[in-house]
Amino acid sequence: MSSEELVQLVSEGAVERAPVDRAAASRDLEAATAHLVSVEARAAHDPVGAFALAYEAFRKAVVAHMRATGFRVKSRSGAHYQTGRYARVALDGLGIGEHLQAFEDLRRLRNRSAYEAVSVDERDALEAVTHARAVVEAVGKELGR
Amino acid sequence: MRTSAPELLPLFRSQGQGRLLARVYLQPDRPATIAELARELELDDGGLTREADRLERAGLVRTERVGRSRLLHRNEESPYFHELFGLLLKAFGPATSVGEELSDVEGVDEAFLYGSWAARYVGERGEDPFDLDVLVVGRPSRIAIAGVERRLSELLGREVNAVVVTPEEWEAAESGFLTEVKRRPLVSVPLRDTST
Repeated sequence: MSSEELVQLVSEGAVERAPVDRAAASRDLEAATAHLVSVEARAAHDPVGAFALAYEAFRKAVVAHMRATGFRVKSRSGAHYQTGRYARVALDGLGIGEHLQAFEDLRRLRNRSAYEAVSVDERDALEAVTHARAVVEAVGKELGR
Repeated sequence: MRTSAPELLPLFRSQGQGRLLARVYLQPDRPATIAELARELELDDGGLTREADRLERAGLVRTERVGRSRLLHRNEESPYFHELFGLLLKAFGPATSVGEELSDVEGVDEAFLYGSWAARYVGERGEDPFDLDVLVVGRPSRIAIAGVERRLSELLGREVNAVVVTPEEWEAAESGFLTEVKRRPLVSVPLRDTST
C-alpha cells in the first residue's frame, strides 16, 4: 500500500478514518463470495443481474479491506468512484493490478446498464466475475481468511 | 483547398489546414505523400501542396524526398511543437485516437463519431461539444469498451461515451436512435488492420 497516496485520498476527503471492524469485514467478504457463486448460476439467463452482482462482489471485497484496516468512503455522491480509487491505492501490492484497473470500467458499465438501457450479455458478466473473484480471493488472503 | 475555419477550433485558417496538421502531427508513424494525404483528407492536390509549403516555411512541418514523392513529417524542433500538438489532439484528435484505441479491441468491425463533435468536425456551427459520442459496430466486450471510454476521456480531456450495436442492428437501423445517427453527420474512424 502506498501510504502517501492513501494520505492524499484522506486529505482530499475521498475516504476517512473509521474504527477497525474485522467482523463486518468478514461479513462483507462472505457476501461477496456468495455473489460470485450466484453470478455463474445466473449469467446465462439473467446477464444484467449477474453483471451487477459481479460488480457488487468486487465492491464488497474492497469495502471489506477498508473495514479491516480502518477506513470508509465518505457518504456522498461518487462513493463508488472513490471506492475504486481506494482499491487502486490500497490493494496495489496484492499483485492484482489488472483487475483493480477494471473496477472503474465495471462501475461505468454497471451505471450505464442500470440507467441508460445499455445491455450487457453473458460474456460481460463472466468477464466481470473473473475480475471480482481475483479481488475477493486476494483480499481474503490479505485479511487472513 | 481553402475551406472555412474549423468550427472546433477556429484558430486555423481553414478546416483543411487543421485536418492536414492533425494528420501529420497525430500520426507520425504513418508519414504520407501529398497525393495520399489529399486522397485521405478529401482535399485537392494543388491546394494541399500550397498549404504544405506554407506550413514548411513556418517550420511546422518538414519534407522528406523519397524518389519523386514528397513525404510530410511534423517538425518536432519547432518551438510551437508541444503546444500545437496539444491543440490538435484536443480539437482534431478523436478520429485518430479513437481509432487507435478501438483497433486493439477484438470484435470491433467499424466505428464512427457522431453527435455534436462530428457535426463540428464537418463544419456545422454550434456550441463547443461537451462530450464525444462514439458508435461502435460489432460484438466487442462491453468491459473492454468501457476501458476505451475511460482512457480516451483522460487523453482527450472530455467525456467519451460509446454505444455498441451489432452489424445487423446497424444495417437495419430500425431504432429511432440509429435512424437519427445515420441521418446526421458521421465521421468514420480509421481502424488499424489487426488481421495480419
